Amino acid sequence: MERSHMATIDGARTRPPIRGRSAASRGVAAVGAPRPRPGSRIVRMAAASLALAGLALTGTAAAQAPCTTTLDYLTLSEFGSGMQPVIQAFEKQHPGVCVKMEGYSFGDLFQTTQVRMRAHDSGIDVLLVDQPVVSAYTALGYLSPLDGTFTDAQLANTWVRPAIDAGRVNGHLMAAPQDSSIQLLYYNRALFEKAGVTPPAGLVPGKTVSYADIATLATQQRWTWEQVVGAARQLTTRSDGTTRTWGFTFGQPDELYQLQPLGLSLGGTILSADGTTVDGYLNGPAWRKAAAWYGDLFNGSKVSPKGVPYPQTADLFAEGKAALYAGGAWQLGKFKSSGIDFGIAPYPAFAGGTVATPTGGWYLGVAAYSKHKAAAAAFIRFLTAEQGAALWFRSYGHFPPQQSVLDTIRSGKAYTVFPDDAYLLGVYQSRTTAVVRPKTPAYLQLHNIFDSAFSDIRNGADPRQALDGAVKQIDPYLKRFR
Amino acid sequence: MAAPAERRGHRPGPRRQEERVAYLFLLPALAGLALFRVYPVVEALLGALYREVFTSHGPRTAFVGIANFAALLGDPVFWSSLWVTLKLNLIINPMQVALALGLALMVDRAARGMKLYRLLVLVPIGVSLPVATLLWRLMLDPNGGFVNAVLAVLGLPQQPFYTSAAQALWSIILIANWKGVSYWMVFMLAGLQGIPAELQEAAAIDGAGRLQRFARVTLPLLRGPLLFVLVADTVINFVMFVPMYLLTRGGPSGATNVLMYQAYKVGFAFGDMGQALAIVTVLLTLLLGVVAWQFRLFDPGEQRP
Repeated sequence: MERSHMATIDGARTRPPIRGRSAASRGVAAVGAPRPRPGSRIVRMAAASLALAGLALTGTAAAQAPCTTTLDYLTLSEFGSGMQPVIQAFEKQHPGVCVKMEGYSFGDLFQTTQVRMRAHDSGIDVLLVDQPVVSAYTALGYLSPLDGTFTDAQLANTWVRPAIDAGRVNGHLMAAPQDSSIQLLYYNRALFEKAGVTPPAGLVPGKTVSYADIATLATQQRWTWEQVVGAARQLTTRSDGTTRTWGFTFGQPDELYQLQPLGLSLGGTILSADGTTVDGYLNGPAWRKAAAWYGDLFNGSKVSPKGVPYPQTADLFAEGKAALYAGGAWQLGKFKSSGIDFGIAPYPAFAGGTVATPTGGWYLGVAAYSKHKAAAAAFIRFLTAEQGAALWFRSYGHFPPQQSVLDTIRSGKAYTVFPDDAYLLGVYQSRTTAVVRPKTPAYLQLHNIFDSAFSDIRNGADPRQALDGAVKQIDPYLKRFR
Repeated sequence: MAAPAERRGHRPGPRRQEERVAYLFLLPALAGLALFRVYPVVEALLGALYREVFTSHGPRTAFVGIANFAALLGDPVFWSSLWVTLKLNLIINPMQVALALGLALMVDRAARGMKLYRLLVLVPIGVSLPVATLLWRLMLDPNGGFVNAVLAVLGLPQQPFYTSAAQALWSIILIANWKGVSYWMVFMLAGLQGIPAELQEAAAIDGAGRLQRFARVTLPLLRGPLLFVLVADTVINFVMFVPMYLLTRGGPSGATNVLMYQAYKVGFAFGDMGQALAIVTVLLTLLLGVVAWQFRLFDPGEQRP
């Protein structure tokens, strides 16, 4: 039964959805059958007429339970269609409670959250929170504690330990883990073959793997970043002064989440152990070397494209215009449906360096000014700890933080064949090499300044100067939050 | 006599009554000005004196006096941002006024095909700045965008455009000019068409050449539109934000990080509203100073010998 209605940014309904059209493709997605919020008479009248039009068009709304509570879930627009089965199951289990998604792009979500929560917007009920900003949002007063939302047994057994710990601030659970994540090295087999370059050892179609095979792959056959650049040089093709195929691209080319393992692999850290400074760390020898290597991708070896941001980088790979792509498991579906011939290798590390792979994910919190805190907490419980967790994993494919879903991957036959065996590699990585981002209340500033510095390096800035500049900007914020 | 008797009795005269009615009519506009112009400025000024401090009980707003302004003095990013703002405006404002005037002079003549030409010149007015930015983003794409493709055909080297610290500001100037010049041209054209033809003819009969007529007749009579365009253009360019937000995010290496973008970043990405309002206050003060100077520049009293 179709229950979706498209919503504008401020939540006013405009028109019913077009059947079969992906909610994600609509930018701002609304799922559920929301009751219009109190607004001007004109808005209410317009909404009422459109609802009537919707009734006439779908002929199904008469069967719906009326919404006595409408939850507003501020989230990513790309979650739109994937979240629908979860919301439908939740609404079925909680008659009268409807969930409306307000979707934004990755870049805009943080700023929208800031602007609306600063304005004490009571229209938001559920917040999608990036794991490292849980403490920042707590410090800013955006989150209402989830104390009492979960039973002790749920708290102890639902999630892997680091995931639940990352949602706690000062002994209170402030946000519950919706997703975790893993990063992989995707490679285009056809492009490797065409260039006569040996591809990395990896997961490929037509081959069944066991957990032991995965362990061997990850410990003995993992490519180094040096190998990545070496191959990428041979795989980059140019004609008429224009690059036709790029040898390599990061999925999120200037995101701390994606790039943190570079410095870590060389023995560095971003932040001091006490969290009070980045001086001597982010601009220390390890990060200087990592940044120089990173800058070379774009300006020296020229194997990676400048000016292509996330998520367009994934399009390059899906269209066969990039031979190697380091990115999230959530792109598996896209690459599978693109029809390209690809394989999956473990996330690289520097030769002789520590293996570190990105992880972390999205959390759900009850917005501090919500008028429906109990219903919001029930939705969060359903999606993160109950039936919704498995539904969400099946529907969207984000690597899960829930023990039960991880167990399904670990023991399920489906996860021994390509491409879902990537999740088995994910289980191995999450248990051995996954590293979360720094936990600091100044994370919002830290990641913005870090991202800008790497964006500058990508565009040709001197790596050392860029890191020194970033350190000068970040440290005052770390001191303020101390 | 009737009039003094009325004054003694404090009876409202017709003139005073008229004034009252006039003020009554002005009231909505004045209230609008106070609400939408004065109040935000006062709010920004006051907000710049506060800072959020984080305690174990959550955030609290604390009065910090001029600490936010003092922090700006020691912030190299602010100084670099101030310089970028000044550099952009020193280049773009005279450039846009000159280009708008040049276009207006070209359009202000009767020639074959002039209607089509005028239409083409006016097209960018119908395109919003975000759309123009996205359009030029594709055209200037360093990886095989249209402009680089043309350069390749001509055998010229590929350019990095907005991904290079040296060319990013110029890329933004190009976009802003494409979008803005024809708009300002309309005002110049209206001014040009308001100059009586007899004056030009008289000057021509007196033996003035084309250049002399432009310098002695056209320009002095265009003072009004020129002042308006210069002031309005300066105000718009001082607070230009869209291309920086959509194209460069203030980079590369801060090359396009104007004060407006820096204030946005500090306020909404870093969540430091007090500091952001301090930046906005500096920007507003700077802008008021520049506009006041422009008014003086065009004051007829200053021009007299």
